[in-house]
Amino acid sequence: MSKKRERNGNAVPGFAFIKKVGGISEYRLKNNGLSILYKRIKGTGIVTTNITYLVGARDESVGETGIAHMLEHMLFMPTKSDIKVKTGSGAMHFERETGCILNANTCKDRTTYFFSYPVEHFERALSIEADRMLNVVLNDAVFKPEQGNVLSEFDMYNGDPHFALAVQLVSSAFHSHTYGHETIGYREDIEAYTVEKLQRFYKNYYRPNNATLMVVGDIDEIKALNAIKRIFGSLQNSKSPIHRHSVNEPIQEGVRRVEIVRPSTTNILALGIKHAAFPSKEWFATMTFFSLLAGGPDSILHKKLIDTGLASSIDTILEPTRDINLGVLFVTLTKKISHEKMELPVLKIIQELKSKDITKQAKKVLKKTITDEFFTRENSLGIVRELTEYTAAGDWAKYYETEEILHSITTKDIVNVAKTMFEPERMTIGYFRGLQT
Amino acid sequence: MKYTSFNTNGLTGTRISRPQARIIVLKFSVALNREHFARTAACDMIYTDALISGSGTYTRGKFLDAVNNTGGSLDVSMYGDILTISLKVIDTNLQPLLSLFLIMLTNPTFAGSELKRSKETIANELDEYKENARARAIDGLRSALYAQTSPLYTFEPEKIQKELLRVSRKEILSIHKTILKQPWTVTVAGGEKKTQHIVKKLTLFRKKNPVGKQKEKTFHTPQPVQKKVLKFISIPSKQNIEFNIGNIVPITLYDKDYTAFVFGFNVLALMGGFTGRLMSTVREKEGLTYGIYGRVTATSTDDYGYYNIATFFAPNNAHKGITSTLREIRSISEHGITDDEFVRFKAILGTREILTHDSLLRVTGELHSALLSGRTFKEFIDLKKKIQQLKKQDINNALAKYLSPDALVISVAGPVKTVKEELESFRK
Repeated sequence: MSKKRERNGNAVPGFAFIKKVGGISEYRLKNNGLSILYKRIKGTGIVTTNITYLVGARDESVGETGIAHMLEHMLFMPTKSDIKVKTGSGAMHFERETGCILNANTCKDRTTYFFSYPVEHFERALSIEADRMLNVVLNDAVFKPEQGNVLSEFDMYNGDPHFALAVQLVSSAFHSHTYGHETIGYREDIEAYTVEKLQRFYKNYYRPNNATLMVVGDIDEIKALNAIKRIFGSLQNSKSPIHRHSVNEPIQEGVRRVEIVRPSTTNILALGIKHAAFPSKEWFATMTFFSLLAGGPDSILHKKLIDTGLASSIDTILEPTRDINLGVLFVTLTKKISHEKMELPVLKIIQELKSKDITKQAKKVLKKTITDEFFTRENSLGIVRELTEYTAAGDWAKYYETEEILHSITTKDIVNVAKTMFEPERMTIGYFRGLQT
Repeated sequence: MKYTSFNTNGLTGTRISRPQARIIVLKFSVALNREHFARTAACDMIYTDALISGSGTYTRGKFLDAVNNTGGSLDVSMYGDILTISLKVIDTNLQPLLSLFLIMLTNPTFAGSELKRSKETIANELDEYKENARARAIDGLRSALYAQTSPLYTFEPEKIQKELLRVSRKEILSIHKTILKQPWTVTVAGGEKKTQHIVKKLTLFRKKNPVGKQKEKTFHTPQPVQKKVLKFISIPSKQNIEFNIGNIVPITLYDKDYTAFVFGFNVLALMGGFTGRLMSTVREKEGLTYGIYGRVTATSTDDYGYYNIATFFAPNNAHKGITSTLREIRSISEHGITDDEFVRFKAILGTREILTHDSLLRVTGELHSALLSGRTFKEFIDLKKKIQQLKKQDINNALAKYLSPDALVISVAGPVKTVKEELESFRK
């Protein structure tokens, strides 16, 4: 064998080398189908490992919304081995002993867990991920307190008018698709969770062939792969197929509307639009359009609404999702204007962009987005965060095409967003009305 | 990473260079050293907006346009009495953004029409802020700890809104004049050549705008409260009650107790993750909240700062939550940290410091904060060693001295009517 081949994972038995794109190599552990992405960053002494499971809000059934997120919390509870050695949860113990950074998050299409730590803890981090993939002990003793924490988290979000309005918007925008509820779920469903429901979900989705392990940092490739094989190699997949919802969202035939009334001094107008899947060119064009509209003091709506005193702030949400999802533009109104009086002018501004020359503005926004990408990717945590979204969307290699895609977006692509996505059959409009008592 | 400190007349800072770094970060700060009033707060809010709203021949629109055309960003903020301008860009676009930054400092317009717009938009932002229970809880704490003339005191939004209308262009110009005459603290990060270039440009700029007669820092020397103080801010529209609990720590960075106290406080409330005692009890064991963290902040080489613990509880858990929090504060102040915690937190804090170096942005931020607090670069680096040399007894002595559940401020924001009567029992 040549020296060059020996330096890559092709020489490590047990792995199928899939491809290398940019600085990232992809492997599959032959035993159980675990996917691995590896990227070397020399000289830092730091490694970030991230494991992404292809399970999220999209996989939840009626009455069990938010269960993927609840289970994410439970993955920080003790496993069978942890209970034997009486140290409490391996993940928490790892943090408490070493000071590593850890966290997890759940979105519509995936749940992801990461550790960032000095390289000498690499195998320990892997062991924890392998162990909790299949062996967390779910019982009421650990579940009930954590259920309380999740309810607390829900209440934290629900106190924000933007979140409360978003919940209503997505549930109206989607009648069948499981994107029709927020990732944290409904409070009523959280209250009704049982250990049995969690166990079923855990068994169905947490398995090696539904996971991608990312290793980004200052560790040799062969060393890393050998450790992964040793630690993950014996993990088995459940024999039952992974259950996935198959949904055809009914056609929307006109604007949908929602309204929330709460005691508050806040008033918000929200425009929800159905946008293309990530990481398509159309998704990036939508992102660019949103930035044009609401990306800072130089943006169109900022100048027309905030600078004129009609709005106090403007925000947008655009998630990188595998399917068509709802992006939202929020306009927080000042006392000067009502929801009804604000709605038409905002739509008019957007309509006018269909025929305006926005080339210069578009170029600026794209430049800014490319710069932001450099800043996001300047550290291992930022890299895994982005890679997670590309992995969840089905093609991690597109991570290296981001700049190319951005450069390829034309004014026509952006104008097309205004033309197609703000049509009535793609829009859901929401009012948050503050009731002053 | 390579660190190079520089100190010319009125320009102090550190250059951080990393091979092949494409990103560039510049943090430029000036301490204004003023007495503080509601009027000052209003002026500061207008100034930070007005500074990026037109310079030289650039109108606001053209200036923002020019900044955005570089792909980078220029942000202006004021915290306490310190103005900070942050510049972020990729290396190939440094020159135009740096030029805009210097034009902005050299010849800001502060046009009347922009000041008028600024007043209205800030007034509207303050209306939104009134419903931000989390922000109001921390501001409520600071207002209870600091005198009104302190830069860390936060005035009620209504007071600031009133003052906004009265702010004159002369006052805005006066702030700018001060900035150009005061010493500058700078941290710059990126590739070797680009960071050298930035420092060179700033040195030249300093020569053209030499340090003038300096405004001496006005010392406010806050004193810790000696009993439990409760402060309620009613925001009926919220569902949760936000809390911010704290007190002045009457020592400076140079006091021998400072590092020991911060170590001990981190055992109680380390920011982020699950390692702090408060997270493992109030959240994990008792399930009372989603997050409870704290930090020691605002301490400098010549002034006192404060510790604070931030959390929220559902109204029906508020009393329980505060009881648990105060219990943990009492436990650590009376009994100190354990041997196990002493060993573990040395490792934890050591690791946290290492992990900072994964990110050029993070390192820049932390170093800049250290420089602003009065630390030299060497002192910043030596902090690691200091932590590892601490003795458990010193930590426990410091905790006993400066932490007490019977002497602190509890700032409460949200639907406080539902919990006020119950929480009043904590005054006793």
